[in-house]
Amino acid sequence: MHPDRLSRITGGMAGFIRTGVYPEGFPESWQPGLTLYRTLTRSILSDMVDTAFPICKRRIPETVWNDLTELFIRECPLHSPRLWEIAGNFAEFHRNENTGVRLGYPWLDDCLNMEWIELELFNRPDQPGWKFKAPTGRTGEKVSLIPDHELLVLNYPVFRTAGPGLKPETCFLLLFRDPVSLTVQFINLQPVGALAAECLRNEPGSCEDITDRIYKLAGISPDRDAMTRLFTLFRSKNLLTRISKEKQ
Amino acid sequence: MVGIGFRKEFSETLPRVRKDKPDFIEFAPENWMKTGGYYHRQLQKAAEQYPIFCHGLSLSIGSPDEPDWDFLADLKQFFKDVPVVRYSDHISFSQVSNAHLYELLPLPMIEEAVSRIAVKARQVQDFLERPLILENPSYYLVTEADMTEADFISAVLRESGCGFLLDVNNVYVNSVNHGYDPAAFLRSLPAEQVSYLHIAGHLKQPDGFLLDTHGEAIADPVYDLLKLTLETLSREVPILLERDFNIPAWPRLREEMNRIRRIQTEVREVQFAS
Repeated sequence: MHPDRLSRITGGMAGFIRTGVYPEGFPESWQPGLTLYRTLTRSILSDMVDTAFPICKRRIPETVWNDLTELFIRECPLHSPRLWEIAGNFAEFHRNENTGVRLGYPWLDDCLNMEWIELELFNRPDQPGWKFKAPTGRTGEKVSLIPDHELLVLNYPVFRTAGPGLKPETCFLLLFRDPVSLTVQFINLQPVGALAAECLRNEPGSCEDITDRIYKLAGISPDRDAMTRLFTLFRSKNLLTRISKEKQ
Repeated sequence: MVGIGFRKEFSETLPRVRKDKPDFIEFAPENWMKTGGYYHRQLQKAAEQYPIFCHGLSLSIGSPDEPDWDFLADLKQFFKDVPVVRYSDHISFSQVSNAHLYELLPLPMIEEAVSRIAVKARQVQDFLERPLILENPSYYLVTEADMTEADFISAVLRESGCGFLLDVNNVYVNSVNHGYDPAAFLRSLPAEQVSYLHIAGHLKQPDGFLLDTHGEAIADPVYDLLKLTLETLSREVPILLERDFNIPAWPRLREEMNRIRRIQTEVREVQFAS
């Protein structure tokens, strides 16, 4: 018995599936079966990637998109046993490879990141013990942002379903998992709105508290009515939650 | 007992089913562990009503790698959070050099693989503090083989001491693709170790080759093989209907479960009468 038969065979099969390079010493008679396994494996991975990134895929020619998937499968070892998490590996891999800039799609990093965060938020484990409590809307009531959110600073408005000609534009996108419907939604915020969200992330507060904090932080005095409207919007989207009395 | 693989596609329907309910549900823990949100809530609702079996995809019991201890720790925690009755995975490999491939790849049927599985299965069972059940996989390639498939499976089960999840559709698919008699094959397996059964549909290619897709209705010859399996076992075991793709409306799945139940009843009555 050869002590390394198992390693040689399993390693060779895995290598062929990822790279397409037929292992030295493997009989030709194994090729049809190995090729079938390569097709099946790649189908699982490319289906996952295609499903996770529908906007990116739509904005890039199919052959180029398929090449991105091919490169990813060949070069990126996938360490998570959870299949859906390979979408995060895909976004990270192409960010590290600078793929978007290299291929003339400078918005790609933003788009991959946005779509990955959307998927991650949808699947993110629930915070143990946390329960959504809708604010009353009373003046002076201290509130905080719900935990399942991410504030993204984008260089391109990749969330707009326009054609491929995206122009650079700094955007502040607040993605969140609605605690009632559990669907993921987003709001494109103005810079002051992003500051308000950032302040709320750091420490709970009332509308007035946040207005004061923005002034201290950025030296600007937000319009009080605009801030009230922003809080009303946040409340209507279930983005704000009451904090317990002892924290107030 | 007849169960069904829990799928997101009918996760809203299942907790509302009143007539001909499945007796248990099964899912791949990898798809549900360390998640929250909408589908996790659906799973919690289903878990309140149905006993749960877990059927893993990522254990890679036959690969030379050490067990993925982080994964096993997550799995152990998951089993604390969710009341899982039985846990199974496949006699295959899906991970090499700490990289997952997400496909159940066939092992060489050699003594070295048997030994590797036996060692790893003990490690897994000791760590999880629960029995592991292993399934006979479908396979489309025989690499190296020092023994027959039946001898390989028997050796794995004997050396590892694991329970046996006998997948009837896999037996049928393999018998067609590799040209052997499924009845003789069934009779050569260790019936006493069978813990439960899987049954599913497959896809027939134009050249007659069968793919174990779980995306079609169960074929008649597979129902026949199920009957033979139950007759061979001479005892009641849970049977799970797997349907992972092309998922039809609930009434069609219910009809498949009912047909399985009728076969169970028929075999039971004949055995009781004799």
